Amino acid sequence: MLSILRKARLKDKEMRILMLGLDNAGKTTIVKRIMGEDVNTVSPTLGFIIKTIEYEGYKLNIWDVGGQKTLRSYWRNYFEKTDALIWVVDATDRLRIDDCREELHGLLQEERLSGACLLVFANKTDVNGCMDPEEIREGLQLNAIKTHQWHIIRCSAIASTNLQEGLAWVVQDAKNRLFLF
Amino acid sequence: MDVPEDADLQVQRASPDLIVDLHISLEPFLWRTDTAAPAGVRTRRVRRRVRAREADRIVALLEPFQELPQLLDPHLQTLVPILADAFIASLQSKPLKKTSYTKLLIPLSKAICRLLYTFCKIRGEKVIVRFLSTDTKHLELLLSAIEAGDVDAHQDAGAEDARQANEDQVADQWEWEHRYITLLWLSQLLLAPFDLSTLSSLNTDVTPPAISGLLLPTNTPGVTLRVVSLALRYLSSSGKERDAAKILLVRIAMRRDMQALGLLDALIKWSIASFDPPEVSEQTSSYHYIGVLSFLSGILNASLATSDMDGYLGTIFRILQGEWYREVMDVVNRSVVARKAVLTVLRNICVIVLRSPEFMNEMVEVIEITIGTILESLTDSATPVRLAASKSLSVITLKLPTDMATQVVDEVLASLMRDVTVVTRGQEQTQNLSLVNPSEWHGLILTLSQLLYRRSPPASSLCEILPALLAGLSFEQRSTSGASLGTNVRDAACFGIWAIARRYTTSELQAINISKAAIASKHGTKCSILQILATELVVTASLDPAGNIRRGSSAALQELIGRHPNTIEEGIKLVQVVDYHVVALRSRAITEVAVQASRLSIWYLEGILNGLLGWRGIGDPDASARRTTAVVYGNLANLGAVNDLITKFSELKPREDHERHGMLLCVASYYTKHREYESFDIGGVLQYANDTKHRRVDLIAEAVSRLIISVTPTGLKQNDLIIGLLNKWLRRTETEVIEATAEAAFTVVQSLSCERKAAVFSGWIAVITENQGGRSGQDQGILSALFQAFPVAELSQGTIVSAIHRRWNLVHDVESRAAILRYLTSSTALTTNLEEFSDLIIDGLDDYTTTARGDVGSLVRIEALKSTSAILKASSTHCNPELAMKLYSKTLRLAAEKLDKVRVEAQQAVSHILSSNIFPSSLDTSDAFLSYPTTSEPYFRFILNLCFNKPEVHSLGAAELLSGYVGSANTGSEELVRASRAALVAFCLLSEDNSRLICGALVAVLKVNLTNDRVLVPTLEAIAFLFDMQIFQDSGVDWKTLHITVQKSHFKTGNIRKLEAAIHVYGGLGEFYAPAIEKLTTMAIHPFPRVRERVVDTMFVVKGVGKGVNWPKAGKLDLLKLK
Repeated sequence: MLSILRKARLKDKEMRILMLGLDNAGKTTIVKRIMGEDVNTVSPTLGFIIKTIEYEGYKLNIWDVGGQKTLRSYWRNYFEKTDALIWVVDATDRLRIDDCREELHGLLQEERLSGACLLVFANKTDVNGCMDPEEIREGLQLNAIKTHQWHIIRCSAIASTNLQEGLAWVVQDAKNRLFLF
Repeated sequence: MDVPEDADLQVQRASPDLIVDLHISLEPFLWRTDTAAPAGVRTRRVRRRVRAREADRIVALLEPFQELPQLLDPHLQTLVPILADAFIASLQSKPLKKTSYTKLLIPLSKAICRLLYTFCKIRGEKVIVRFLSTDTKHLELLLSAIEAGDVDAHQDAGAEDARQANEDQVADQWEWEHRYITLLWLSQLLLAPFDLSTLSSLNTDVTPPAISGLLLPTNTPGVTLRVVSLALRYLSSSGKERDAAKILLVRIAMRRDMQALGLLDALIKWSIASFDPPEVSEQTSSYHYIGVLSFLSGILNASLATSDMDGYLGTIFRILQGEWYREVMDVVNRSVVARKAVLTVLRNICVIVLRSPEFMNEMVEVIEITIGTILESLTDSATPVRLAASKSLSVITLKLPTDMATQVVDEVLASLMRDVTVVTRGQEQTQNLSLVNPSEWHGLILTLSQLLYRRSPPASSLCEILPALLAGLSFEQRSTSGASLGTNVRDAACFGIWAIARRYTTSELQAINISKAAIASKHGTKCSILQILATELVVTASLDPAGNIRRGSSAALQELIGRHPNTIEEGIKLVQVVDYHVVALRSRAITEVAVQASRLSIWYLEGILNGLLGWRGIGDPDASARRTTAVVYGNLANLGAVNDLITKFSELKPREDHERHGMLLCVASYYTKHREYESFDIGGVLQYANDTKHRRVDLIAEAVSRLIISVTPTGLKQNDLIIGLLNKWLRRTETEVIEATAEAAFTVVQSLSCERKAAVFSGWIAVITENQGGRSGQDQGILSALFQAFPVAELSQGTIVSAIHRRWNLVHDVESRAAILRYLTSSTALTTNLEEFSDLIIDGLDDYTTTARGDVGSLVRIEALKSTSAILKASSTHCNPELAMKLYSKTLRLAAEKLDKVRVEAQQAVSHILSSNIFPSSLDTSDAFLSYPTTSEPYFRFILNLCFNKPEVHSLGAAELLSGYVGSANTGSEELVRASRAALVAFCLLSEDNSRLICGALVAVLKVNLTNDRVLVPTLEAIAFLFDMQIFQDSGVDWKTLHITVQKSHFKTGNIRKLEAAIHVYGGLGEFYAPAIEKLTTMAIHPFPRVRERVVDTMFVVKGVGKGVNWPKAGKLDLLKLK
């Protein structure tokens, strides 16, 4: 019994988070900023990065996968047992919002992501003239999503605003669903 | 009955140091800093080989974390990448030259992989692999490296002789740790989000592997071919790399591009085909099937909530049912690991089937058969299989529709009750679990617990599950050899109760119908189910013989009280009392936790009293546990309960010796505590003890004696019977029996009339003086009784003293002497009649009896030292100065002798002397002396100072001390020799007087002990040592006397050690005393070759002559060459 409890305790409070979005949305910058690393030397991710963050006693394993078009078809390699999906949107990129919407809705069709909650990070909101959350909600047709819990939040990785709030929502939502007892 | 402190507490305390040590050690372990370069631009290079001992040490730093892996978590982020980088660097560096092999060095890569494997073992491979680099450029490097290592291995396996000749190659070969880590890392790299076909550098010509049954698609990229052939090779291996190979194979097969290519299909078809080999031989390794099964299970697991595998489920299922390939499945079923793998495959199939209702209806047969198979596996004799089965069943049940789930639970409960018989005793009905199969119960209870853990059964069915869990919580069976079975059942039940407390709400639990659930417990219907659970947990936590069960119960109790506040009596206090760490020690759990919990509420008191009378208390096979039980029972019980107990005593079956022992001890303990005897008649018990033949007389003797002690003050009526019994029992040899019977005899004798007393004594004296003891030890009980009763012996005292002296000299057997001194020490006779007994003690201090067992006299010496301590501690007024001086000098000798345990005891005695009024001045030094370890230089310095700086002492004591000291300085352990010699030299160098004193005393010792080799040889060596140290030269000893004494000492001896020691002395003497050299010269043709050799060596050192002659064959003429 003690070994079962010990195992349970090890797995308790551990979450797997998948960070996706189009290329140049700022996924890696967000991760680096949260980890407190240098954000000025970020180059396009040609592959993937795994980082572990301690947040309010929870251990968040963040999988940051490159967003280049060629890589997107491989996203589903990483879906296994995902608790939360963080979708990063470049709020200054009005041109590709349709592209962005299609990718997101395609993802949500996947069987393996059916249990995950969705956080939309509207990144780069420190830039003037960016889209506001309402516009993004429209553009991504978030209201049409019935299968997942979702939430949209403005943030800026460069200015380091609202990142912690985003994580807080993810953890809170997971608490409500996963750690009922 | 107690085990040492828990490993997890220790690691918690030590972990900061261990972590720091790790951080410091790793860098210099892995990298070599180029010291030639100027500071600031220092470059580092990865090492090629590292010391095996250092690798072992670092692994040993990690191992303790197995108990608490989460302590490592914050440091993984730095530690694992350091290792991984060094691994890559070592793979990139030039291959090792194969010349400089020694067993003390191992290749760096091997050390790294061992460390990484240790990390994986402690924290789980899934966690560790996250910290490995995901840079795709490592793919080629790792892949080539493992392929190269593989080739090496194959060449070597081919030529066994070559391996012998070429040992260095063996050392540099890739071992399983290498392959395990590399395969794991590859599996992580294959997550790369590119088409594998685009990794062009890796896709040079690769011929597809020729594996029967595997038809790879034609346009498979080269890298896939290489990975698949590697993974398939190691999938059939017997080592840990099989797991990594499985992960790798699953990973590559599930890749999107590979699935599109048809790789998954090809691999599944290959797996299915491998169950149909062209021929089934007995030799077919079961590891191959285990590998294939675990691959299938991994694939199914990876496709759990998807339709990827739908097409194959039926086929795989039917294979595993053994419908087609019975021979293969027979091989599979012989292996535990394979049986477990089959279960997980079946489980995954079921879970996939249960994904959608339509699919389920289609495959309902699959589900039913699987559940049947798993239920059967719950009785499997192998624990891992049962664990897997119970988990599988609970996972499946969780997905089943409600009605089917209920059926499963009912089936489990029915199986539990199958072999349970109900015994009716009066109105009481109890369950008899002695016929059930403990493994089956373990499997079934564990299933229930797993179900509860997932909250699968509805709250309404708890009233049927709970009785089963409670029965499981106190489950015990004895195997035919008497060993206890069923710890795992209790463990599973504990887990179940923990799960209930965690997963169900207070109101759900309170709604349970008690009248049904109370069957399994004796709590009646008055209290709530929560209270019953709490009581049972308290009993288990304080009484269970297994430590992990006590701790498990404590954890479950915490959960129960914490999640259901205000439902359990004195809940918060209870949690504090039944502490997780306190219950770890069994004696503490019984004596502290049980007692404190009983004071909190009548529920716990009743529960614990009941428990103490069950198999966990008086029925425990461990006698010391029963003794502890009895003490606690005596504290807690009331008169009514004790009377019940006495009634039950007569109902015991003849074979229930443990229970009888425990019960009598309980009664005795109660009366010792309470002193209300009117209601108790010991006669029945005595009569019973006298009339019945017992298998374990020792237990009855001990228990009845304790009972006699506890009730004696009231005046016993059956004195003759008691004395008869005691006289018989006093001849036993067990320590506990001697202790109890002797004390009983003493208490009884006290109450006798003078004449009766004298008669009893003369009976005892006859036994010891006429050597009726027979085999040694059989009169120890009587000796003990005599010494205890000595103060009340009045007229017989004189006879007793002379009888004991006669016994002392009658037969020289060490055990009896040690026993006499031991009982003397604890008796008041030591102080009242010291005059009569002092000669025994002095004799004992000089007992150096040596037998085939070694220095058994040390037992007597130790007891004598204890007596000495006792005399001085009591009051030195008993001790006349002459005796005191004698004791002192002998004690000092023992304080310097070579046996550690004797020195420790003597240290105590000496410190008592120092603090007594024999030497008023030295009062303050005794504490300082006690603080020295007995194998340290200051310790020996202190002793030397003590002896030689007191003129009134050293005349008598010096020779005495040195006769013990030389033993330490010559034949002790290495550390002891070093400490004592260093102290001796330091003391001599302090002043010329000191060295004169020492040297003079040594010669005196030599003269006295000419026939006593035990002292003589080390004394000669000590003299020679002081010559070597240039100390003896200035001692002022008369050389002629010394020379003659030494000559006498080895006259006509065949003792080589003595001869060698003497030669050593002549060597020292010869530098300035010519006759010694002459003597040496004559010894050069001594009949013993060893002696010749030593003589010639010594001559060469002293005079530089004697080489160039074949001395073993030399004759008299050759002696001239020594001139």
